[in-house]
Amino acid sequence: MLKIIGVLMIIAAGVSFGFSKAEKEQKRLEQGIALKRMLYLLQGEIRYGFTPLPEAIAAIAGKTAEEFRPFLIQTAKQLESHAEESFSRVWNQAVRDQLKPQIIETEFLEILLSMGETIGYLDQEMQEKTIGFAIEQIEDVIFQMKDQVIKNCRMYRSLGLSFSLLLVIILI
Amino acid sequence: MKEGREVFQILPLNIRNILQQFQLDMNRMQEIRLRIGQPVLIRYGYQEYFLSERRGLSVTREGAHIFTKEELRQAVEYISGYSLYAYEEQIKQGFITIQGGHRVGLAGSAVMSEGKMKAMKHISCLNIRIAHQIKGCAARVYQKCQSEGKLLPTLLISPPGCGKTTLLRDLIRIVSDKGQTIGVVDERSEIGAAYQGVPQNDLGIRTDLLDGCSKSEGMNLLIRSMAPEVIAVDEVGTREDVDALFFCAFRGCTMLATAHGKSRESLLKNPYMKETLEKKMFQRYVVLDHREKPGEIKKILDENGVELYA
Repeated sequence: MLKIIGVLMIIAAGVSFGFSKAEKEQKRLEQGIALKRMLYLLQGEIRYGFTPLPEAIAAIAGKTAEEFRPFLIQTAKQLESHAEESFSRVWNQAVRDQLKPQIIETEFLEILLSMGETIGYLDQEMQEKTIGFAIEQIEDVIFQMKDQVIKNCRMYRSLGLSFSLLLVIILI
Repeated sequence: MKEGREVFQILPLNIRNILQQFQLDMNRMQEIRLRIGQPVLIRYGYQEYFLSERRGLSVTREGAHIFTKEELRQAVEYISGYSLYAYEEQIKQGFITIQGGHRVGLAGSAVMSEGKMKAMKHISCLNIRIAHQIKGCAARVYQKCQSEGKLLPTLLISPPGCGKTTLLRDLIRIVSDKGQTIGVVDERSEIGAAYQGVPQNDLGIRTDLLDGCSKSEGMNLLIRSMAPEVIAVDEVGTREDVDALFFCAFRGCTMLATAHGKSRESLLKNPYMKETLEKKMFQRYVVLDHREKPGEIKKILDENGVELYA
């Protein structure tokens, strides 16, 4: 009886490990899509209302994925306080404080940091192009990642089950 | 530092530190002039001073804080909320209005395209004019510019810096609180100092504010959408402004406006304003002066130029 319980526990642990790894892989993709949506919102605020960055960032915070809200709120608050000399310093600091621990795919972080260096500079068209370029880059990463993520998800799920079964066979 | 808090926020960190160290009262400050490589000049309590790192304000140039290029870059970032693109149109007019209704004048190298200013690069001079809301300052003017509790068409005439926007703002508040619906076209966000569409200054309980819209377009829009009894605008003088004034007046609206000038007669030099005088668009002319302090009323005239109050 104890053996059967032990076997079931090993299989359950292996399967759940495989599924959690697959879920993380799936989240990598979802984060990219959520970031793309966030940048579309920012682009819209600038295009529609010529909204200044602190106001635009605060406005989109309520419409963005929950995990990115602290990042947007910190950026908007810091910008409004006029404590830093440049936009890029505020943006980059918030990316490091709030997004780095959250975002799994480091390429997304690099895209955001690079966008922070040029946004706010020159005219409205330039802002749209800068954000548009970042969106394109995120799309490229998502495109490259998509097939890989599907394959990895399948692999993690089956590996979880296979390893647990292998362990059971070895132990028995 | 309540009233000038927004101005303090747009200053470079070095200047903020000096002002904070000497606890200068932003409410007494009227103007700050910043020019690259030149001493910082501050008009404080109706007198001009140098900003000194050791003494705060000084009447002598010795020890004055010299404004640097880096400080200007910082100030421009703060003024525009790190977003110069959001002020493209305002920059073309040579100034940005910041939160609180304070006006920042800009000068530098203009970028021209087809004979028109497209942008400004290498900004080198800033003139920060601090707006003050003085409640009750228009009470006496209102008494002379109304009949049976209704405002008469009124034009406030004044040279720049004499407090005509402050007077207009209070007059709007009084007219509104006394029972008339008033529509305000605030092209430069100086009257209502709207932040995210909500006026930060008290404009009264029956006031509809159209912020950031050109005067001529805004007046037409308000007539159609808000049915105001009175329409108020600041600094009229162009062909489009005067056409819109007539459009509103013919539709039964009472006009309340301001114009640059030294006297009623000085308006005759402007062909468009001359037309308003000839057609007696306004029944009251309030002439402001800068003898001792801004906002002093020189005289109030009726539509025929007869003095009512000195």
